Amino acid sequence: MSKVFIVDDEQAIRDGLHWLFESCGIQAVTFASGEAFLDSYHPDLAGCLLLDVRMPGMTGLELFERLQQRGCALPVIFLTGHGDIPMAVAAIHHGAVDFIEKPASDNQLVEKVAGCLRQDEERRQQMAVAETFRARLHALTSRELEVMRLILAGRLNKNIADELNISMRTVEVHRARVLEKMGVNSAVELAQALAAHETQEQRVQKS
Amino acid sequence: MWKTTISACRYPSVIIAGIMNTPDKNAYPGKLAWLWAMPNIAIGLFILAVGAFLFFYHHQERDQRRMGLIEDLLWQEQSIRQHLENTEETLTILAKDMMQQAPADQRFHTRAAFQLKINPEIIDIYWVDEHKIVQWHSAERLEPDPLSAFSAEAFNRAKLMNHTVFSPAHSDGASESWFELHAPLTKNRNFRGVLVARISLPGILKHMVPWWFAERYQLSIVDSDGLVLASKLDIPVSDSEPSYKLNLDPPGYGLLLHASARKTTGERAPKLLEILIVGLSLLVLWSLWALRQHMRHREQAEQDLRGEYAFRTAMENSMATGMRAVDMAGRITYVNPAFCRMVGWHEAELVGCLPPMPYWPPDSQDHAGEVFNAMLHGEAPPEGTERCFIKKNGECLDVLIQSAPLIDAKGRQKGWMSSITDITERRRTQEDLAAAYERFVAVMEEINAAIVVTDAQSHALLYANDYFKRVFGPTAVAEDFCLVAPHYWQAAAGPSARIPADVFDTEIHINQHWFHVRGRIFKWVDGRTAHMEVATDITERKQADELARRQEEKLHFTARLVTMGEMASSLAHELNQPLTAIASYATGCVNKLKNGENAQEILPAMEIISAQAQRAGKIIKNIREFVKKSEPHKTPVPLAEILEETVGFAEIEARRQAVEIRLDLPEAPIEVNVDRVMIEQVILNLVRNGIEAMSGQTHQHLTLSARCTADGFAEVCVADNGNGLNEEVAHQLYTPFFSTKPDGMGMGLNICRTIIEFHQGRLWHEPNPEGGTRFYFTLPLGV
Repeated sequence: MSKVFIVDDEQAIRDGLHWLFESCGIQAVTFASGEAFLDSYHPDLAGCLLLDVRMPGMTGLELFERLQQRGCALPVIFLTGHGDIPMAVAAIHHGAVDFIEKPASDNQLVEKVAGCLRQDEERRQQMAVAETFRARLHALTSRELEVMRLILAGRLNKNIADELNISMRTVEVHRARVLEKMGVNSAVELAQALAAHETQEQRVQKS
Repeated sequence: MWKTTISACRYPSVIIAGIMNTPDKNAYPGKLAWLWAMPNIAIGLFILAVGAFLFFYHHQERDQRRMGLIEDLLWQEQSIRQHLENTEETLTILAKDMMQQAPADQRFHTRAAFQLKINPEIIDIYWVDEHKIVQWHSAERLEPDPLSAFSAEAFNRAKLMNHTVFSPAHSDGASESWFELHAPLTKNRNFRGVLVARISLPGILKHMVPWWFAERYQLSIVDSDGLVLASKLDIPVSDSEPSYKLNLDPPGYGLLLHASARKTTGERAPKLLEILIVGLSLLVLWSLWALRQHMRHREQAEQDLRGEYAFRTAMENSMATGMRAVDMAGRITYVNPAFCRMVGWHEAELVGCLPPMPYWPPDSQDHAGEVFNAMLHGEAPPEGTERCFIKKNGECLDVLIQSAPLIDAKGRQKGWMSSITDITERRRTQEDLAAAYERFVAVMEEINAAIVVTDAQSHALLYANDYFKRVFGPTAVAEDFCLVAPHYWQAAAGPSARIPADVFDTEIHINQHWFHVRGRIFKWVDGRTAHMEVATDITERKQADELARRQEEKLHFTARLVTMGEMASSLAHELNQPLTAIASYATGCVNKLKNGENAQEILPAMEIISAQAQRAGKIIKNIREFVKKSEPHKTPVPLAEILEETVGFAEIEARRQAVEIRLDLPEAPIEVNVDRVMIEQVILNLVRNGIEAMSGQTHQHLTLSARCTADGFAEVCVADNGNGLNEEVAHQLYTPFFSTKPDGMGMGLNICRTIIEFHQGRLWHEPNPEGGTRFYFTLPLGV
């Protein structure tokens, strides 16, 4: 379940924001400091982060940097006071989603947080699909991978048999097992799934 | 150069031959004196002998002449005496005869006349009777009577003695002198007078002295008083000639016959001989003197020569340069002590040596031989060759050898003379110097400062290190300027300004860099006065200093502004917290109410909102209390003082930005009742704003003026000639947190206005008709 993680040193603000998100049906978890959040952080956390910039001890920006180092992909929104705007801008350049100036007006903050939660959900789903696909590829034997490569190259079963110096029958068995393992019905679907996966992988690598 | 060296070496050999056998120096003058005494004494004795001979010869001649004179004079005197005795006898006879005959007889007259004639010295014969009356006389010219006094005396004697008597001599004072012969006349024993013959003394001399006598002698008759009564041939004779006196008796009475020898012409030959002898003696003396002079010169020359020789020997021995002579075959013929000391071999060991020489380095004998042969063939370079010698004890020695032909007195070349200079020390010194120079250059070139030396008068560049050339470029070197002159002093004080002559220590701004320049006057290596400057790049330090200074200035001058600004910032933060909480709760409540939730559910949130609002209120209250605590402290102050002090603060900034600040104050002093520090801050703020507004402008000046207004206020105007304010900026000018500056807080003007309003004044601005903006504020006048 996606949650909004609020990190602010001020009790009143934490409670106020908790109240606000609860009123919109968003689950909120509050932390009094960056250190407290880091302690309870693990990569499976889903949702978004709402960080106060100015805090005693670890500042919001420092926490953000630490999380990035740990490979945290959670979307981050900063809460800023007067004069912290240049800081917030710098943070956005480093990959933060947005910043909200205190005091936030109306449901602006809620909308932004909701957007972030959706974004995170999507990202997680994509990640899950990619993970499944990767697992299926992993399950193929080396002979099956060879056969799959030749199928995707558009070879006929006969040609594949000649090339691999195996019988037509064996090729057909391998082909059927590949389609089954990859969870597709035809060679065309297989090709589409592989292309989508490669695109996804590239995006991940890039980011 | 080598010529003198050669002569110095050749000379001794010449002298040695001549001087070697000379006896001891001290004995020499003694023998010389004795040698000199001999001819001197001989010539002295010779001249003495000749002188004595001449003296005795003269003396003898004189004696001879004197003897001759006496003989002749005796003869003359005898002749005169006999004559006079004859005359006396004749007169006696005549007187006797006269008494026997008649006195006036004609015969007597005739006899008398006859006597006068044969005796020309008798000038008169006369007869005096017994009554002393002249009865007759032969010469008409004599007066007959009475008888003169001196005649009367003789008359009486003749009468008394009844014998012929002579009278004393008498002179008439003129040319004539005479004496008389009185012969008594007796008849029948009765005295009947005397017969007188008057005899002239000059007559005697004239008639009785023969010619040869007169020629030889000057003869004169003098009386007892020395008075000359008569003289023969009265030609003056010198007193040195011999003379003699003899009594002439008769007539007696002290008459003297005086003869002086005349000079005779026959004496000329011996005289000439004498002159010749004297002349020759003088010639001998002179020649002796000349010889002596010549000898003296020779002696002096010898002495000089000996001195010169001693000097040369001393020079040769004391000389640090080694001298070595070789003959045409290369055999060493001479070495001086310095050379022996240099190579450590004894003179006896070296003289006569043929190449290879014992001092040649064993490992390069061939090379040494080549160099030596080149020297023998006259092919050695005139500037000398540098060689290495090995001392007897094996030490190495660097030497410079210069050779020159050795010419003997006949002009033939006998060999070669070489001077050997020990250059080991020199070479080491040179190497040390070179190393020192390298170190110097390394330090100078690696040093992180520009060093330049220029002539103090002409500013010609004397030295510039790499750093200088790198930083100031080839133009600076080409233009021959010293660092400071064109860039700082000229810019600061005008082109005609004189560069400060002495030490200075300043900072200048060139090519976007700050340099700390230390300069001073010193004596350059060639003695002229030079100006050295060391420029250190202090841009970084300067910037750091500037930053620190600005921060400090900020802290120092705008302490309260900063406090207020900080307060405002923290106020914003403090207020943000409750407001954020309130906003969150309120929005949440709205959301819940919209979703149709129970009002009871939102109650706790509403309570929290209320608490947070109270908290915000508390913050505001705290600020108000703080402001109250820092209320200004008003005192009456002269406005001019405040303005002048503020300008003093702002001048640092103004100079950096090249802004000229003009202060325009009325003559009458204005006193205002204000918090001095606060007003200074306001003015400083306005001045700074003005300076910043003018940045980039070419002609920047800021004017501060003050005047009294009609309604009892002092009005201060800060006018800049910057770009002015556009409408948007002007509109927001006093809005809190509005700033045109990148690092501005937007509190300055706002606080300024607050301060001025607190003082019951007013702050406003107008566009400056000359461009830029004018800020005005008013302050109440002091009571």
